[in-house]
Formats: sequence, structure tokens, C-alpha cells
Amino acid sequence: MLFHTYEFLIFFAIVYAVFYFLRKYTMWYNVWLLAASYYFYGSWNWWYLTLIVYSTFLDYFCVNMMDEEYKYPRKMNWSLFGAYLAVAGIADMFAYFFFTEKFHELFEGFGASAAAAFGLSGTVWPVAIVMTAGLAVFFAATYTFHFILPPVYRAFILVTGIGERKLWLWVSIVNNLGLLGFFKYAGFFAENLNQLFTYCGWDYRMPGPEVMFTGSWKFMLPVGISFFTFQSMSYTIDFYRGQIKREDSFIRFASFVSLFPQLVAGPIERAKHLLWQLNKTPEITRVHITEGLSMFIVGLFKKLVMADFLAEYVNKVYAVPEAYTSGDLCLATFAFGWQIYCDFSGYTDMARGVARMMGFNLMLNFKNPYLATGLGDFWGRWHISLSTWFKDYVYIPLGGSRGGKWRTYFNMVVTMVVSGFWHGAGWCFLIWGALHAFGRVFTRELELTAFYDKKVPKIVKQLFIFVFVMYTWVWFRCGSIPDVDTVEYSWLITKRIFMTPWGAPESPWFTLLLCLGVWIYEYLHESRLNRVVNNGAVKIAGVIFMLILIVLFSSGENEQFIYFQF
Amino acid sequence: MSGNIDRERAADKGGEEVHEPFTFAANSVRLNAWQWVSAAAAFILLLYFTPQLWANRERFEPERDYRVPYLISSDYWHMERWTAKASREYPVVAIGDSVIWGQYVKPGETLTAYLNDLDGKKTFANLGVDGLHPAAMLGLVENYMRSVSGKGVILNLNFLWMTSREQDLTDTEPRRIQHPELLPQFFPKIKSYDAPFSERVPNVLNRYVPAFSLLNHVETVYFDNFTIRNWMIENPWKNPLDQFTAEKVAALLPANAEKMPGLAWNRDGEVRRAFDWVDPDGSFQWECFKSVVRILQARNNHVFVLVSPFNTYMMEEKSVAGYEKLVATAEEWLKANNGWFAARFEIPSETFADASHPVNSGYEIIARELMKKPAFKGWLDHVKDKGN
Repeated sequence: MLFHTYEFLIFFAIVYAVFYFLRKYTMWYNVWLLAASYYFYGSWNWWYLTLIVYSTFLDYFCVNMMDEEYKYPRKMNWSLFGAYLAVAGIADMFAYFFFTEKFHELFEGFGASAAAAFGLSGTVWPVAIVMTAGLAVFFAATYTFHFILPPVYRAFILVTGIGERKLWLWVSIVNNLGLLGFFKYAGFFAENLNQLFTYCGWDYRMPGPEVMFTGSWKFMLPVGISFFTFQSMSYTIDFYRGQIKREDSFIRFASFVSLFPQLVAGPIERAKHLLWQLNKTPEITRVHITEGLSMFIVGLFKKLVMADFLAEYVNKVYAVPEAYTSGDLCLATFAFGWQIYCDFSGYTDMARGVARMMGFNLMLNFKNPYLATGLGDFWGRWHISLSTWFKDYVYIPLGGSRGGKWRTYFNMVVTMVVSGFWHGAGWCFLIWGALHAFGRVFTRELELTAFYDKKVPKIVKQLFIFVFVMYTWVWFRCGSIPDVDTVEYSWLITKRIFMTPWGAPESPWFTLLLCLGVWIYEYLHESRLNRVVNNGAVKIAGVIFMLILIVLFSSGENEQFIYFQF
Repeated sequence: MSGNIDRERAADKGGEEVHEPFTFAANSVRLNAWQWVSAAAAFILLLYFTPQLWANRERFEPERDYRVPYLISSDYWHMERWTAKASREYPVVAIGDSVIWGQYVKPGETLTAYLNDLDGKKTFANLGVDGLHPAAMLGLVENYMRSVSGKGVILNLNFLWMTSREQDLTDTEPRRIQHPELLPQFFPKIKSYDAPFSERVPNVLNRYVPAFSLLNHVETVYFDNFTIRNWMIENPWKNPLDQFTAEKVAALLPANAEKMPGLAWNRDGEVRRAFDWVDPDGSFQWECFKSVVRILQARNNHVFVLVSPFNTYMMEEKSVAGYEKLVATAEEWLKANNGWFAARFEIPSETFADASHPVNSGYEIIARELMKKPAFKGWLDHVKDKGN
């Protein structure tokens, strides 16, 4: 369910109406928000709901186990988790069997006689057996977790001497990264290992994750998995660091992890910023509604008018780069830079607008990144919630800037490369991250020189960073092209950009005009001429202009949000 | 109650919450309530007046035997405008599918053209639309033909739409249906119509917001049936405003040619066909047709139902019997519910181009026969009297 669809409009109208009346009862509105959020997520694929529930349950459980002041018997915690694992496992196994040929293979030929023996029809009896087996697994798991695991766990703690808090922190990190690793990166690693095996002459093939999904149950990357695992994991880490207190209510914690406006593409919220908001009556005034609408309309404009329009040109050129020369490839890359910005920041604007109308504040995720004067500045303006996440949970634990210049640069490079890999499982994303990493080191050095700092005009710095960032998008864009060698593809485009004539580009002039218009608007907004764009009449005219373009441009095929794939 | 408890607990915790001041966004589009009301009012006024202004600005001067060109037969904004104009200028409008429109004939050889010739005046307007089956006709009449209220209406009943479950839209296999925008989008549910929700909602909105159907008109006529966005992609350096030319407006006027050459169906020998007629009791199209009659009657129209001749020469005997049964059922219903109708035209085999469409000589015969029928003459006099 996408924000810019009629389905979402109806969904939100219903959710909002009920939420408005429940807002004074925090527990009830949290139940409602959780149900709505799971429905929202389930509308992509119901089976992958088990992943988000798993991640939520796991982190809730880990923090409960970490908290020395936890007041309930720990055995209850164990058995609850065991019960959950059993239910999730059974549901997944049931789905697996039911939707694959294995189910039919398993019972084929055996069905008729067994059915006759039990007096059941051929369709009912295998289901009954699976359900009975499921119940048995459920009780066995609950029993195991309740009675057997606690003493084993105690013994383990005693023998290893590991601190309980650290242990559960690692359980959370390993499980969350495990989920991410399996669903997002397993295919990439299997493919590359197989290439290595072939290169070494070993006759072994490592299967990819898709072999576990057959029949009508296809393997696909769960939407927004990188976002909700990071959000959930940050809760455990922050608790471990003593920055937040444990959340008592599972429902509230679950609605924090899955809050539908920001569930599938961020902003990646922190517990210390959002969780407490779910523990109070949200204030909904006329200001909240008008501001929410303002944000939503800007997001809608960015998505429908800018991003989807630009996407048509970008897709056309990037589908057959060898058919285009430098002019088109440069302009298509430029268009992609604006497409991804408008697509992602448009989603964030809509998410923040929806949340604002509900009385919640989500963090600012984009701050006019193409006006950045340095790469550090760029990452302080682009996907801020992810940049700060990596800063807090990767860069600072690595040592941050405390270990001298070269250690700082090393930490920066590692953080940026990991950040690149977060965006996608592919060499292109790693290279994209590395380009930004080394670019950042280079520009930081440059910024330390008096000449660059004092003499070079701001606009030159902005253009320099803009051109660099635009070039790196070549690697990012190619990273998600299926069935090609993406690195080779990126090289081909790079070579053609620099080695072919400019030619006669086929970029629609209107797209260039739109991008230029937005850039000038942002420039004015950040300048001393801010009062021009802040004038009431200009704002009204701007909204009318956006609405007209939304109507004119909304017919035709609309694209998914790019960041959903992450 | 529980809210209070929760708040107290939150207060107990304290310390770890981050109460940052709310950062609106990195832009100034932050409208207050009055600014939103102003923007919304201006936008609504724009939506309301643009179609009217456009209709006044765009040159549209149809000739006597005008029909909507085939290429823009899904342009319902234009259809609505033509309907309004026809209702002002002609005492009688003829509504129907390609039989009324004139599939195999030129604009001057359609049924309404021959009727005008015989009447000697500009009396009959051709509001036929190619492929307009009764379910689509219901949508068109309900939503885009309100301006014909009080007029004389010749309503065509073509049994072609009941020759099979597929044509009747009562089968379950999803497939392409003509004029999907005019179909009921949600209720009643048509199983063979499987458009996604995201298509159905705009189809409904187009009916109630003329500016949206105007956009479809603009894209069809001026942008060669492309969306504006796609047109700009295909024509990167052209100015879209340059598309609004007199040559493009000429697309609203029909080329003086038939859609297909009008050759007799049996010119290469006669091959008999069997038709799997749908029983009227369970027929969706028949129900829709009856609804069209009722709506027109409710709008004080004087409805004359023309059961257009079907090519019984090309049918197997069993199919002829089925067809006769259908005609009898229709006659019975029309007698009871409308009164004015004509059926059972005898036109020669060679005047049919296919199962239901006559060639030009066929139209001429039907027009002559119709003008001779007392029911039609009586009805026409009645309409003219009311009109005066």
C-alpha cells in the first residue's frame, strides 16, 4: 500500500477516524495502531509479517532479560518467547508446505488410505495432521523454554563468565543482522562464493536462499526489512548503553517498531525520540492537521510530479546505455539524482505529514542535500536518520574521531562502506559507499586548508559536491539493475560519459526546468531571501501550482518508492 | 483511566525522552488553516471553471450528420459536450452502439442521416458510440447525458450483446471489455472486469469531476492519446503548449470515411453461425438496457426503442429460434414498460455487413420503414409537439 494511492487514502481515513476517538486511551490507541500497521505491512505479503513480529518480540525479550529490575518471573519471559517462536515457526512451516509442491508430494499416494482410516476427506486430513503436529511443537517449545532452557542458560553464564547484558545485546544484534543477512545478503554471498569456487576449480555450488521457497511461495526481499530491524535493534543498544529505560508494554513497543507511516522506508526512529510519544495522549490541533497536510502535499508533488516523471527518462536511458552518448547519460544521471531525492524525501515528507496529523513528530530526514558544501555536510542533510544511526552505532563504537587523523579516516571509510552495503547487496553499492567514503576523506582534508575554507565561494563548493554526488549515483542506479554485471554496466556508463560526444540529448526540457525550479526554491529557502518564499500569497500559489501539476501528471504508470527495496 | 496510569508511568521513567522542538521541514510550504482554505477554494474553482472555459474556447461546430470520430470514442468529455449541443439543436437524439454510429458507412449514410433526409429537417442527432454495449450505455446515459432530459430519444437495442456469456459480461474469465470507464466499478460486481482498485477509483472520479475527464480529452485530442508526461518523454524538446493548434482541434470532426468498408457479409459465400443466446432472465446486458430505459423515462424523455435488425440469414436454424424468443421477450417488456418501439425489420441479406451492422442501403431501408411505421410517426409527432 503506497502513500500516493487511493487504497492508502481509504486506509488512512478509517485508521485516523478510529485513532482520533481512541487517542486519550494510550493502550487502546496503541492496539489500534499496531493492528493498522500490521495490516499496512501485510498488504505487501502477509507471511513476512512473521519477520517483523519476530524482530519485535526478540528485542522486547532481550531487553527484558537485560533489565535487572525486571519484576516478572523470568521463566514467564522464556516461555512466552518459546511460545512465540513455536507459533511463528508453525505458521511459516504451514505456509511453506501449503504453498509448495512438497506438501502434495508428502501426502501423495498416502492420502486415500489414511483418509479412509480416519474417515476424513483427502483435503482435510493432511491439514489436520499438520495442525496436530503444530500443537505438539508449540507445547514442546513452550515446555523447553520454560523448564529446560533457564538452567542451561544459568550454566552457560557461569561457565563463560559473560555478562548477561552483553549476552542479550549480542543475541539481539546477531538475530537482527541474521534476518537481514538471510533475506537481503544471502543471495549475494552465495553468488560470489560460487564464483570463487568456480575460479578455484571446486565443484561445489552453494544454494541461494531462493531454494527454500518453491512453488507459488516465491523468495522476495521483505519490504523495509533494513528499516525495521535497525529501528528495533537501536532500542536494545540504547538500553544496553543506559540511554533509555525498558518499555513495559509489548504492544507499545511493537507499535513503535511498526508504526505504519515510517515502517517501510523510515525515518529510522529511535526509542528515545518516538517511544515516549506513544505513551501519552497525542495532541491533535488545527495546526497539526494543516502542517501535516502541507508536508503530505509537498511529498506527493515530489513523488508524482518529479520522481515518477524523471524515472521515465532515466529508465529509458539506463535500459540501453550503449544507445546513448554523453549528453543523455549525464542528463539521465542528473535526472536520477533528482529522482531518488524526490522519491525518498517525498516518501519521508508524506510519512512525517501523516504522523503529524496524528499528533506524532517524526524526525527530519532530508535537509536540502543538494545545497551541501561538503560531503560531511551532504550526509548531515541526506537520510539523516540513517546517517546518525551509523554514526551512533558504527562510527562511534569504532572509536569515532578519538584515535587521531588516520584512525578517524579509517572509521569513516568503514562506516561509509557499511552504509553503502546497507543500501543493497551488490558490489555497486559497496563501490558507491567507498566512493563516498574516500570523497569524504578528501573533502575533509580540503576543508582543512585555509584557501578552500576561506577563498573558494560557497556556490563553487556546492557545485563541486553536487557533481561528485551525481556521478556516484551512476553506481547506485546500476546496482539495482537485475540480470546484468552491474559493475561492468556502471563502467560502461562511466566510459561513455567521458569518452563519447555530447550529442543531442533527449531529456525533456520540462524535467530540467522542474529540477532547476526546486533547486532555486531550496536555495532561496536557505538564503536571506527566505521571506520571498515564506510570503503567504507565494505559499498559496505554490500549493495551487503543485496541485495542478499533480492532477496533470498523475495519470499514467506510477512507480514504487525506490527505497522500499532496502 | 488507563491513559492516566500510562502517563504517570511515563512521568516516573523520565530522563530518557528526547523532547526536541519540532522541525517542520526544509521548505516554507507551511500553510495555516486560512491559507489552506484559500488554496483549496482557488483549486476547486479552477477545477470547476476550467471545463466550461475550455468548452467555450475550443472550436466545435459540427455539421448536421455529425458523429463522434471513432478515434476519440472514449473521450466522454467531448461526448458530453456533443450531447449538450445536440440536445439544444435537435429535437431527437439517437443513442446506441456502432449500429447507430455507423460502423461501415460514412457520416452522411447513417440511420440518423437518412432519417434527417426523409424528414427534410435537422431533426435527428447521432449520439452513437462504437462498442457501446448496454452496461456502458447505462454509464454513459447516467453520467454524461444528463442534458438530454425532456428530449425525444431513439434508443437502440442490439442483441449482439446477448450472443454469448462473454458479450453479456456474465462469464467469469477476466478479459478486455469495451468502455471499461463506463462500467459499474464496484457494484454490481462484474466478474470478467478485473481492473485494479487504482483504476476503478479514477474511473468513478472522472464521472463527477469534469476537469478530470477534460484532461482525458486534452490528452486524446492534443497529445495523440499519450499522457502529458509520456508525450514529453517522446518529444523532449517540444513545447506542449504548441500542441494546442487548429489542426489538432480538427480531430474532433469526423473524417468523411467509414471505419471499415461496407461490403455485404455474404460476398464470398454464406457461412451459417450458431449463437449461444443468453436467456433474458439472467442477462446482465438486458438488465442494463432496461435500466437505461427507466432512467431516460425518469428524466422525462420520450423514448422510442429501436430493436435493430439482426442478420438472421447468417444464423443456423436453432439460433434463429433463440433470436425470435429474445425479440418476443423484448417486445413484451417494451409493450408493458415503454409503449413506443419498433422491431422486426425485413431487410435483404446483402444489406448486412456482418451479424448486426447494415451497409448504407440497409440503413436507408430501415429509415424508410421506420418513417412508415405508425408507432414511429406518432411518436415523432408527439416529440415535435412537446418540443414546440
